[in-house]
Amino acid sequence: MQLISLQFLIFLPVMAFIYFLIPAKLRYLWLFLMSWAFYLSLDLKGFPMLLFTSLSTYIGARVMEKQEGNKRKAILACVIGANLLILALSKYAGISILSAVGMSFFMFMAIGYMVDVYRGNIYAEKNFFILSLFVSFFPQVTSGPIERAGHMFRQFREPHDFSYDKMRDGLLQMMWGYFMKMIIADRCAILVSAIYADPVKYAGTATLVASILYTFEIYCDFGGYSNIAIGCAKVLGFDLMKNFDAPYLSGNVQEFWRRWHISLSSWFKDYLYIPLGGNRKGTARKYINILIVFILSGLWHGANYTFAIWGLLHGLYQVIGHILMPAREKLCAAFKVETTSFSHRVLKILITFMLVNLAWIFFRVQDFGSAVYMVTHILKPEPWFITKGTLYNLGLDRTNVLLLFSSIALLIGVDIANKKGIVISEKIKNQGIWLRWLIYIAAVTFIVTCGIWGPGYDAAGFIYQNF
Amino acid sequence: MKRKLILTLKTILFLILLGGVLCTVMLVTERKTSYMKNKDFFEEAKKDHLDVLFLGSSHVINGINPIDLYEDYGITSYNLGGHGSLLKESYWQLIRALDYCKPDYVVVDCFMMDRNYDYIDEMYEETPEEFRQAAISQLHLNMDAYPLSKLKIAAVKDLVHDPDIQKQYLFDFMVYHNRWNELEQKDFQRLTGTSEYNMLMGAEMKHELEGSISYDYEYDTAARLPEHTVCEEYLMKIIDECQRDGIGILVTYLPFAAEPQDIQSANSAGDIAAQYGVPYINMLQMEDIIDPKADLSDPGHLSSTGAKKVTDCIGKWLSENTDLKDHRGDAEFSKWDELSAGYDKEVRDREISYRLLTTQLNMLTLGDVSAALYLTEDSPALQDPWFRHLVSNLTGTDKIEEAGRDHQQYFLLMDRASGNIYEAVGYEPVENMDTSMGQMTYIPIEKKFRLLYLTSDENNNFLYDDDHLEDDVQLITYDNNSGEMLSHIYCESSHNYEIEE
Repeated sequence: MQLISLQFLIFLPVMAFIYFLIPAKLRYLWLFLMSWAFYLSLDLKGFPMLLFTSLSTYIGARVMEKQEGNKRKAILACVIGANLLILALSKYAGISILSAVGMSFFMFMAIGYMVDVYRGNIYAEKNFFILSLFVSFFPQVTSGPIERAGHMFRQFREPHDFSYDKMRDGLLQMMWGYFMKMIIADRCAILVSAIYADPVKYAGTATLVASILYTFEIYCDFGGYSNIAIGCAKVLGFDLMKNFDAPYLSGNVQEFWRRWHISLSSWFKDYLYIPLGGNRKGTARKYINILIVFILSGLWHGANYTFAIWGLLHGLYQVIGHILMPAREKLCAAFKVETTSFSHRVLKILITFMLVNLAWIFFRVQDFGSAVYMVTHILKPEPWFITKGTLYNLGLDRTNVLLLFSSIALLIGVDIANKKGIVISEKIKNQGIWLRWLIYIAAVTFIVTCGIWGPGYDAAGFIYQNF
Repeated sequence: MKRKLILTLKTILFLILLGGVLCTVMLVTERKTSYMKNKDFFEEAKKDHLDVLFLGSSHVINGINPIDLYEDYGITSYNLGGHGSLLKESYWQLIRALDYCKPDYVVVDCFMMDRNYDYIDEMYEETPEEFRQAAISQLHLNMDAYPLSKLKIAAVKDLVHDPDIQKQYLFDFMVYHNRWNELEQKDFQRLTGTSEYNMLMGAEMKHELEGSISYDYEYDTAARLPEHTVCEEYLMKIIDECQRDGIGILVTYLPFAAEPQDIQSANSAGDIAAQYGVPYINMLQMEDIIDPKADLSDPGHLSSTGAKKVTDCIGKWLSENTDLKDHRGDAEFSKWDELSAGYDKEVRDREISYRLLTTQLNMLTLGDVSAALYLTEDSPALQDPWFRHLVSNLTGTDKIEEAGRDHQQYFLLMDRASGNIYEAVGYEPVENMDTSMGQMTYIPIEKKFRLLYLTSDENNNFLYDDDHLEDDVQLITYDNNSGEMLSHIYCESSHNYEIEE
């Protein structure tokens, strides 16, 4: 059962209905059971890994809490080491029996929990079901957001009644997530797959279009998933952390990482960058730490060295950005560039977008050679790719391409509004009931009709589920 | 409490509105083929108007015309054949149909009885993927129009193995929502019930002919299927079901350009029919039932003229061997009369004019209009044995063979009212031909000049036109009774007999 499936759309309301019917103190047990059932339906053979992570962190944290000094450290190292070893054997040695859907996510949450207990930020959880629910909570078990134990334990323990407003907000967020995934991401995927399958067959404009569409595909795929996950948790009354915040409107790469996959970025910051010394040990060490964090972040996505290059590029963007900052400021001053002007901000956003776009090429390609080919041909102008209609022969007809670009425009519009602090869902909620309902019904109808789903499309899979 | 109640009511109202809109969208985006095929079935079944049901594959769809059966014998029937339907699908088609009506007779055709696999989405190991996909798509024709029910679920599970593929028959919106960018007027007319639908009680007539089709197999009466097949099993189930329900059954094997396995199937079907003591008409063995050069639209499917002959054969059998009522003239069945009139008009229109001369010539054998045909001496059509065969079918003589052999111009006038047929080869004139247009005269003068005129009006030559000097064939049609000229077709036969608009 995927978050994008008819079964899930039946599962969620039924389980939510029962959840609010049973006594508040027992609700976490119902959630726990449903989360395991959800995972079992998704990946039966990966379930032992989920169980192992739950048990190892539960027992490890309980034992560690009672120890002092080196023993404490040794237990922490053992539990983290065992989980990371399994992760590494599965991802990098390709031992499929050890692989499980979403293991990078639930293991990172478990590791974060161990470190928090080790640091004394939280107590070790005595109730195995609460701990296990934290690791396997169904909205986030496959692709996050990578939550913090302290934030979730409190919510699991505190009983909350059904809230109509939260349900409505949650459903609206889910709907936006489905729009991103089914209307944009899965449409982009058709064109992107066609070109990336054999990039040498194409050149110039086709390569550029494919790379830009992939940039939107991965955002809408993962951002869409995150919105669905956060939204369905909200329906049940839970608040999950924000995972994306208009990332492609960032003015520099550093800002991009404050807006992209926020739960992972902050995880790396809290549990890797800061322990490595962060920026407290001098500029050179800071740069090295940034590069380490981003290369590891790349490798977290998979064993392929192209992921490491993607991470390295992002690390280099930031290091070079830091190094060149004084020169850039001087140049701006010399040419009297108003750095707060609209045009300057747009230019910065475009440059950042293209840098991120360039890095995504390495993320998407099958091999380094293809990436080099694409990067070296990306600026070769061949506009007839669009004017001659080749674009419309790659799996999407003219109407579908038009719908795709219109939807991307809508996405950008909504992100701009969000960045300016205008929350579109709030604006809709403030409308009169008939207009509000008209918008809701039109949106649902649009998504189920024009969304990419059903036989012939593998729309049910999320890119980040594989990481 | 009051707020909770209001919120609950609002939610329920919202869900009703949303559900209504989604149902509307589902109706609009649905592929209409199944609805169009079955609309009249549901209506006529409800009125208990269906005495006979026809089951089988596309051979049945194209080969049996319930409208002809009604017109000629007064028997009301529905053609439930499905494209690519095996007997297993026919069985489920019957079971579903019996939920809506109880016919007096079921006629089941046994084409593809040699197929020995359980599921249409698997077929044989070596079956190409496109065949599997075609079968999956074709099953929608039989399924979509029927509402979700336990029976439909059982049918889908028995026919399709993959649970993911099964879903698309139980909730077809998952396939059809993708039609949003190809919606036409008829898709929206579905909401008002005014969209077009099948006007032949489930049948589809193929008027066009593909070309000369060879049909020269030797029928081996000893041939049998080498193993007991899944389809044989389901033929038995169909017979069992009918016998249990007191429904008469007729087993058939409709004619086409058969292959050895078809002859095996036909004989094995005969064995099963004999075993159960039910009648069997094996038309593969009836050499003269159709003219393969004119009655097959392609090697596998009958043309409309072929369908008329086959329908007539079955109609004759039903009228001689059953007590089925003749509903002609019964006011309750006036809809059937309207559909008959509509189909007759369609056929007549094609006899008057069609985009292919060969098709039009073949349709003229139905005799709804009279015609005059002229071919120049160098006409490529005269050297085409298939074309000459079609003309011979009209005249009942071989005179055109003489024209073809000697490269002579050819003239034919066929007056349906009087039954007179006039032919001329070379420079032979025909004077004072009795026709419903009046007395006519044909006089060939030279290669590119000939006269055809009313004896009473010599100045009006029907067979000459400066604008059509390159055309080697001319065909004139006129009304059987009034003699009013209906069309004048010119054709350059070297262009595949295509008629310029």
